[in-house]
Amino acid sequence: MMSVISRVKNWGRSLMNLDVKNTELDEEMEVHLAMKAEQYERNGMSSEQARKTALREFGNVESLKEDCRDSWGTRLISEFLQDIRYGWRQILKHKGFSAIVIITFVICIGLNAVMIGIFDSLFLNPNLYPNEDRIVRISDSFQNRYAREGYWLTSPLYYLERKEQSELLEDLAICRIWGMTITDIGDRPNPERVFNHSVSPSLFSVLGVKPYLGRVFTQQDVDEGNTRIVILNYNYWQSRFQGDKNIIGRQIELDRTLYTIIGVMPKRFSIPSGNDAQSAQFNNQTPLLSPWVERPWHRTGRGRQFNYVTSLGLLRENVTIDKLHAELSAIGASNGPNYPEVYEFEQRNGHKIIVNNLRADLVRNVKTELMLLQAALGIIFLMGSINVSSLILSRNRKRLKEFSTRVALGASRLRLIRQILVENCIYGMLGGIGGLIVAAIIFRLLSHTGILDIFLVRPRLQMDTDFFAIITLISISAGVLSGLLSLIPIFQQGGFSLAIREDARTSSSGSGFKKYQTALTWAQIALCCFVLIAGGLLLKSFWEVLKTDPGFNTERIFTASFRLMNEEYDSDEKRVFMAELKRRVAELSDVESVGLNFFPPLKWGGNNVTTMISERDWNTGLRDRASCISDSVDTSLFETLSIPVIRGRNFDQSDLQNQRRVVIIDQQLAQSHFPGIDPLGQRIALHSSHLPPDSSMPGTWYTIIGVVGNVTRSNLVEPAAMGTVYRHINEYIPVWASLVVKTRGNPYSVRQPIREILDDMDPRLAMIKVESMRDILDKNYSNQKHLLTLVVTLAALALGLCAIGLYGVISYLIASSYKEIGIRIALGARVSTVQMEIIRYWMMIASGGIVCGLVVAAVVLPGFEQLLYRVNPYDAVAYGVSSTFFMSIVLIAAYLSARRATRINPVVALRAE
Amino acid sequence: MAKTANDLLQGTLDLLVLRALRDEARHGWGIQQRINQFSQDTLSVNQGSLYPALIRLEKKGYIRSDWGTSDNGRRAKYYQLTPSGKRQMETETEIWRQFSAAINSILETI
Repeated sequence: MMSVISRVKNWGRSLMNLDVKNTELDEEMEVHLAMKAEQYERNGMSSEQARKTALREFGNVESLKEDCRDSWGTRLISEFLQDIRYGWRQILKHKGFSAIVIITFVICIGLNAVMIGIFDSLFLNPNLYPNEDRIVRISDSFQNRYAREGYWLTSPLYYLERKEQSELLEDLAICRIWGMTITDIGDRPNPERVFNHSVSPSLFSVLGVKPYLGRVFTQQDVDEGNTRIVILNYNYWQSRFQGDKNIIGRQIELDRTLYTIIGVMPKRFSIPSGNDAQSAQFNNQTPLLSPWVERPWHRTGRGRQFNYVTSLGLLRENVTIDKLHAELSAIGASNGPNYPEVYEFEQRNGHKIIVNNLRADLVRNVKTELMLLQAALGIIFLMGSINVSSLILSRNRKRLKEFSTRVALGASRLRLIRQILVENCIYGMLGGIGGLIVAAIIFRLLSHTGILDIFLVRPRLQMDTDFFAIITLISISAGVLSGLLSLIPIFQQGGFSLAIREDARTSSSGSGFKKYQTALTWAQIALCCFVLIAGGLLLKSFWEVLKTDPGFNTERIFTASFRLMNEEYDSDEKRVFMAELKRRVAELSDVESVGLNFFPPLKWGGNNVTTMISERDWNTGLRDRASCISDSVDTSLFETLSIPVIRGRNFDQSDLQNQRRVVIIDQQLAQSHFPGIDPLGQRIALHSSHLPPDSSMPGTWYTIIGVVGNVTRSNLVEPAAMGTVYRHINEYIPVWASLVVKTRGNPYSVRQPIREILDDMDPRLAMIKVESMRDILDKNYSNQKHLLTLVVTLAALALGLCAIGLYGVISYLIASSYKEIGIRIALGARVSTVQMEIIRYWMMIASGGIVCGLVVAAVVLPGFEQLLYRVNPYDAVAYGVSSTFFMSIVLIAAYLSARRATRINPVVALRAE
Repeated sequence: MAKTANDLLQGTLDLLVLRALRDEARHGWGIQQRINQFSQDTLSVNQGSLYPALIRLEKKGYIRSDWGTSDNGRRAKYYQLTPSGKRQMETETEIWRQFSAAINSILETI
């Protein structure tokens, strides 16, 4: 028995020497014949006769050669090579046709390569952390307080207990993001507000990362109280410290405390501390790591109650998430009785532990977008395949005669099918090569436009062997699929040999080919119509977003925020500082007006949520407090942002002088808490500490003096769920304060003058979020914009593919009814009648396809409702406009094809056979 | 693996070919002549079976082929036994002897 390897070797060798072997075989046969003839000659025959006899006795030389080739085991290969040569010749012969087919494949395969690249980096690429499949995020959520499942925080005591008591976790890490001001030592402090991750030393072992320079934190550092140390993120090291290799050991100031730099993290390092867009943004902006330090209060009830840290665990090998979940629940329950009040609160508010695999967590948030994109690309791929098979079908019909002749002459049917498939595979492969190039270009473009930011993990296209293998597979299957689709009607007709009879028919009606092609066209129009409707809905939704009135003026507004630390400014000093800053900014030549508040609307972090209860409710015995947004403003903020005072009045100096506790509310709060009552003069209690929402203390009482218009606080497309209360900034001093400046010209023109004023007042005070309101607004709908760009591009591609497909059918139709039209016109049919008939045929196809498309859209699109803003997924305008648009395209195509068909000279048409 | 009748016949032809090559290298025509001559023309090997058999044997490594010159100056392909071909020939011959002896004894007794 020969081993497989040697057989393969032999086979390879046979393949290599095929030509030589063929010549040798010919020669060997020739010699054999000659020797045989010689013998007959020796026996007395004439040389002519001897040769003839030898030949006769020898039998069929060719079939003997075939038998020998069979014994080589290479017949399949040689035929295959022949098929490839044949296919290649066919491709070169029909250049226009080939170009259309290949372009279609290029589009389809290129787009799918892009999608695979995205999927690859989101799901398959183990690129983030070495232990990725064992890393879990552990968070605690309260059903009653947070509607969102993805609330990803936990409390410090939970972290400590789990770290110390869990058997199933190899290690557990904690991290917490907070802002700090970094300054250089010396005369030029160059203050900058940055986010800092304070992390436990275990973070590095959980994630399995090593520093690029220096070292990471150790347990020893923490135990010895050596916690004034910091590690830089690579990008920040590059931008602030110019990639200085001697950075280790250098000292910097963080919030005016000395820290020593001990390390730099590698380039692609990031901490998966959150799972939504905000924390992804955080990650990019988190330049520092410092050690997390345990405080005494962490081991009290408060330490269990306050969810504000992220914890990441490393599972032991072969431990499932469910097992860990059970263990953690048990730990939580066994420690619960030590903190009875908090434990009882947890029970009452539906506390649950959430354990998620890191990557699953990241991907969940982009699921809808991914699904939409995948669906759209699937449709494009399907349309492409339909296109190609309908084109090839048209051509195969023209080649039927050739096929049937070859079958009649003895070619095997299998061989013919193989030949068609091989030919299609060549198209597929050429399309695949083009597709790879297109994919590379698309990825380049995409990474420049930021469209990929809708995915939290930035996809990277890696052209490795796996990628090539997948694309090759797709290319071949696209070829085979379209080839097979185009063969179906041939077999419905009874195969190649019967097809010759089909060809003899003169009428173009009633053929199975035509029905099949009509069905393909229907499917294609339906798909294209569907994509157009989806694009229309998104376009309308985007329009709605643009139209949304944020409730305040966004033009010529400059904003910048800063934080006065409690360690350096007491309340009075803060009031003086803010007043002075405001006075000096207002004196700048370009400034029209200046306001102060906590955070300007639409900026992240702008919402300080507190709870409130009205005096009326409190007196009736109600204790359920409502959440509301708390802002602190000065007297000129409403005017600066053109927020209208609808009832009552703005704050004034007497309020401050008399230390009245007064408050202004927005319309939403007025309507929800004082329906049918004049809110002016009513009192509400505000509560901002972390007491449970059902505390028995009312809080501080404020009297309502005015009602202002609603303002979009956080996100344009998410309607405000809460009302807002405004207090005066001097009465309730917020942690952060922001300058809101209305300028006469370009808002950024005041940036430098303001920095200079700050340098003069406090050179180590950092400004953050220095932006114009217009830019904040633009950022706010960038995701919708990107999504829209993607879908509109895909819709355009679908339309293009559909046009190619229709072109294919048109040429088929004309080719197949050439003779018929010619005869009818020759017999005196009116051109307009013939034209009308063709147009009617097209309208039939188009309306059928469009109806299918509408049905598909109505079934599928409601599933994507969450991507739509203020647009009904059954929006009649989008459906109507899309289908009318499509219908008119088909009408034009029909008219052109009808004109072309009837321009045929009957004589030429009849001779065309 | 059970041998089919066809395998048996093929095996027989292979054995004859190996046998014909026992003493010297021969070309296709020579092998055909040699078998005819040995069997006193009772067995006539057809070239349609001979050449595929030669290719088969060569693939199995029992024989190898080289181009040489025949007695009357023609370029021809000569086949000769390889060492493993020689061993195979002896084994096959032994099997055939036992087999034919068995057949003979059956034919004589029954």
